[in-house]
Amino acid sequence: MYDTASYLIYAIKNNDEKALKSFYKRNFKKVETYILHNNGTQEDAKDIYQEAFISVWRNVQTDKFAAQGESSLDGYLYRIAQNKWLDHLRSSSRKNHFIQQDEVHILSSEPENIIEQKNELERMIAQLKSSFLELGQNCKELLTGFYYEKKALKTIAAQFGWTEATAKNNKYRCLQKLRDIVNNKTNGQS
Amino acid sequence: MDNHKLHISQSEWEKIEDFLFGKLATDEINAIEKQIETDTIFAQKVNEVKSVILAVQEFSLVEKTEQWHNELHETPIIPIQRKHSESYIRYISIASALLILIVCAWWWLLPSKEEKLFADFYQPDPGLPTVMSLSENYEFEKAMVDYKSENYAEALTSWEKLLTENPESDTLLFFIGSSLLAQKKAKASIPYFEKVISDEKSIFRSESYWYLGLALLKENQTDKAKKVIQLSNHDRKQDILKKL
Repeated sequence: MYDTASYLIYAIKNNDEKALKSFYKRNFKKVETYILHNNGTQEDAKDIYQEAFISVWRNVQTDKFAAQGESSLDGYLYRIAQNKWLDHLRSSSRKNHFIQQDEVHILSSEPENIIEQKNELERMIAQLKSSFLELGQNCKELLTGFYYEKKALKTIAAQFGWTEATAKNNKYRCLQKLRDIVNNKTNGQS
Repeated sequence: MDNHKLHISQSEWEKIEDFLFGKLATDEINAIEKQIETDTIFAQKVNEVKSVILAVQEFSLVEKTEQWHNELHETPIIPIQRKHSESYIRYISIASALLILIVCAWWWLLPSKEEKLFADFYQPDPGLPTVMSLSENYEFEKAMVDYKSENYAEALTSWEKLLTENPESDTLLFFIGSSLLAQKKAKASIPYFEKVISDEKSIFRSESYWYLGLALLKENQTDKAKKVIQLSNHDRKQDILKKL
């Protein structure tokens, strides 16, 4: 049987641009409608949807999402967006506004320690993402090419006019720089 | 991330990365999994490598989602309206000319019997089942997904590329022919189906006779189409032959 869900998961894991773009575009309207009907603005809809989209992407990458069909992946994105919006409403001063309670879904009943681990991972990722901005252009291109675009080191080396061994060493140096930036920030805060 | 950066050497980083990317042999995977269970510091290192890899990708993905979002809101450019009287006369003239053209075209473009039969009997081949896997067939299967999603032009481009590496592949030849026919490029599809038919062992032979027959019909080569369709095992073969 033609297995669309497996294809979509495989495509997401490989950051297939076409599949990701289509997945992003086809689900936005539904989430936007929900948020607009529940006291949100278009800007809220965009922010919440993008956060939810990244969460789905991450859960697919880390094998947290067990596929049951493509529609379930679409539905999963919608439910995550709903929950994020409900959390947002609860945490803001808008507690008293009407929420479509019948549409509230509990995504997981995971034990506390798992939730804590997840939060820790999210915190680490958030720090790394904000530090990534401070890297030099070459480092950004190298790391993006290798990890996001899944380019071979050989290809990246050719792009920069390096040998493959240089590309490999530079990749490690860039990663260390990124970790140093995070570390300096964290120590500066403490 | 802890306040004190864990030291992860280059070779250690690369080993963990290979583990996370599934590039290691089973015994190496087992060894690392065991180390994660028994060595807390090592487990932290694995988590850190994982976080860095995810963060770099997420950073890029966030930039992409911004682009895609902007595309969602792109609206077509609407031409500025002219003054009413000027545009009214212009619309009337264009509408009259169009009406005359449509009436003429209707007479000239009435479908022929062959075209009507083609339209009645042609259904694109449903394609092959695809279960995407980490295999070298990924490109082929990705194109199959395009084909099934009716993105025939894109499927065609991918398969034509693969055909240069495997010029004798009956599967590629058949689906290239099918993609062309699905785009109503009957004439262009004919040599592909003919080539599949020339391969006596091909499992696509019967289907190729059927689609070749329909392509010939669309090209108004009715006699040849009849002979070719006769050779197919298609379950609607007798129905179409009666009407030809």
